[in-house]
Amino acid sequence: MLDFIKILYKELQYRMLKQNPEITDENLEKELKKASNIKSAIALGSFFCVVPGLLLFTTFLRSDTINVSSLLVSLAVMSLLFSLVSTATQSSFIVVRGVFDPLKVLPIDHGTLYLSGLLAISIAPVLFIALPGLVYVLVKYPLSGILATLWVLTGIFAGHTLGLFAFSVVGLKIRHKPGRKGILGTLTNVLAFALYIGSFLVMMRIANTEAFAEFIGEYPLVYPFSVATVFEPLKSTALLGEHVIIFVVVYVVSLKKLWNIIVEPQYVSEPGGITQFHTSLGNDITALSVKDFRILFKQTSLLVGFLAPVTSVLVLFFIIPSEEGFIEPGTIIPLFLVGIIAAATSSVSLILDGTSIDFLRMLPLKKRRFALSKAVTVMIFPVVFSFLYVVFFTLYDREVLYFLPYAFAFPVISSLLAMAYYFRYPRDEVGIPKSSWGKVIMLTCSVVLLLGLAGLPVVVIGGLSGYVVGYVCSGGIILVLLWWFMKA
Amino acid sequence: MIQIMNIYKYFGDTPAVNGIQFTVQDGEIYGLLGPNGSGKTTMMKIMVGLLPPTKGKLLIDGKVHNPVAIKEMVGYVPESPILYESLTPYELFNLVGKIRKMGSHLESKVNNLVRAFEIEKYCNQLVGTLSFGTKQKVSIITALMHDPRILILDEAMNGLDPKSARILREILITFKKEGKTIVFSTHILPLAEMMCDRMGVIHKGKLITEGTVSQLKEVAHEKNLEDVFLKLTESKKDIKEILDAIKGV
Repeated sequence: MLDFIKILYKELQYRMLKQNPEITDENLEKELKKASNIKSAIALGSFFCVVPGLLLFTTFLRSDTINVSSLLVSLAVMSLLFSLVSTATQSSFIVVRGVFDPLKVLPIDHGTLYLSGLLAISIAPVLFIALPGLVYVLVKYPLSGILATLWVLTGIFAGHTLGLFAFSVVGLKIRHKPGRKGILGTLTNVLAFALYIGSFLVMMRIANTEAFAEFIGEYPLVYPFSVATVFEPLKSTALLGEHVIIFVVVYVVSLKKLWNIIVEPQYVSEPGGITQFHTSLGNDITALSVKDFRILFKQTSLLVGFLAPVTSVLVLFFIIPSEEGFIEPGTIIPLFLVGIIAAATSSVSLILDGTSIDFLRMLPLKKRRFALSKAVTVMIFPVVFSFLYVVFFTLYDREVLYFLPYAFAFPVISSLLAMAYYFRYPRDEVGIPKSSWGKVIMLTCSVVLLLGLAGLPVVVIGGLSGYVVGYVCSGGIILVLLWWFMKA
Repeated sequence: MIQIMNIYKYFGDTPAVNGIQFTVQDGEIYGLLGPNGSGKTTMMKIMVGLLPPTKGKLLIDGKVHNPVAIKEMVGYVPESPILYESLTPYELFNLVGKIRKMGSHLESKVNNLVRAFEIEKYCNQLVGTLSFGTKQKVSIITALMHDPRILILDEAMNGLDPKSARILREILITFKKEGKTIVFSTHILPLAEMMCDRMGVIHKGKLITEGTVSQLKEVAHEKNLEDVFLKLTESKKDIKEILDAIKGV
């Protein structure tokens, strides 16, 4: 089993490297050796996860048992969420890259077990977010600590199982139903998934409040509230056993269903009849972006992965203004966050093409044009969400309308910067630059810096002149970034 | 005119193309023959601008061009269709037309080719649901729709039904008459004999010989192209030994 996972992981890395224009034919073998080292991949991921884990750890230090219970619920939700989103999105990427295609002809009943194993490599580091907090509980309350560790592990497993389940239900169908009905069906699936994730985020947001502690007490049977029972060992053990049994059953059923679908992908295609070919309006950039959206709307799993980061901060749209009132810093924060998160979706947009990127390589397409089309793809949803946010809250306070240019500017800056960052390699070849933890962190820091530069005048200078300076800064940044894309 | 000047291509330490040199004139159909793994596809990918050579030069009309400029001039059909499976052929043609900046004649070009290859009824279905042969036709249309002055076809007849193969042949002849340059590889030797003005035989990454069909027959002292090919690629003896071994089994 492990040997097989190693082979598949190496194959996955190979396919990613082949699409990466930073890798030449000459150094491919050397890079492959480095990239296919599973231990170092897990170690690197764990290192980046332990940092937020240590920040969370500090909140444990000043807490009594009731608050520790609430914090453990937060950790359980976080583990489940990370594992769920990671599974639901990564599985489609792996399948889209065709790693399992050679296995289809072999007499294998449960090939998805290997998919599960492959995903474990990217999910395992999440344990390190919870680890510092768990160590604290283990040292202070050993028995409860052991139970808490088991609950977090169960959370990771549950998230993985639900991710596989979601992928098997909504993910693998490749739809093509002309008309609005097909698009509506796809959007319903995606929104259901986004609401599901959103509900966990709301829980995380309010997990540290006293009201939540009381609420947990009333519903101890349901995960993640059941995690708060760690100070009642017998009850907690029984609940843990019950949850493990349920998730193992769902896991086995999902794996079986998923493998059948991988072996025979479901194309939901209704021919649109014989028509003449008509060209559409627009240029190469819009055509490439439209192509991305066509792929997204036809392959629901990719849309889920694409929208998950942005929808995950939507809940803040409602929480922050209601807490802070419509004062300037409070109103700008959600827009700022959507801008930052827009950069996170850029790595998803890069893998939409899958193995078909080789088709684009045969065409006279310049790297910067391709990169600009990807930036357009990335910015659309965040711009729409931010725009709706401003319009909606303008109904309550007309002054919110001052933020409208930022609803446009933040996602645009973020997506342009993200693509300029990924496509800064010297060769003028279309490809899929590899994303890594280091790159994501560097990119996030750069985005925060630029968005800060664009948004800070509003907070620092204040008043109408603050807005004007802010708008000018934003416009200037956008122009500089666009200049890079338009360079020959 | 395409000039291949002493081109080498290494994958790591492995040479795939080992100092190949030949010229294809305007209005000429040049056939690249060779056993599997001989380096034909790598050579063609270099000619299309998909792979950079490790050493050597590719000249078009006497000049070195960057890969994007080469791709503007060339139409390429790969050995197996590489397409977006979740788009329909029409969506794909629109994308290609926009990238190639084809403008107003895109519609008429596509509609003519779609009719020629008789795929009208498949053009609103997902590419992923189409048969191999239909995908190959879609791939050929994407290579022909911009009216390229150089056409590189890597076993393009694969999967085509006889009628479509005939149509493609006729299109190639028309292209040749218009002075365009065509390079194609095939394992169907009678087809190569019928279509090519000249051909080159690649073996173990090297061009071992080139010329017209009659010149090759003369060099190899053989009467038909299959025997010429087997003799030049040192496969004739192998076949005899393998057949003897099979009989022994």
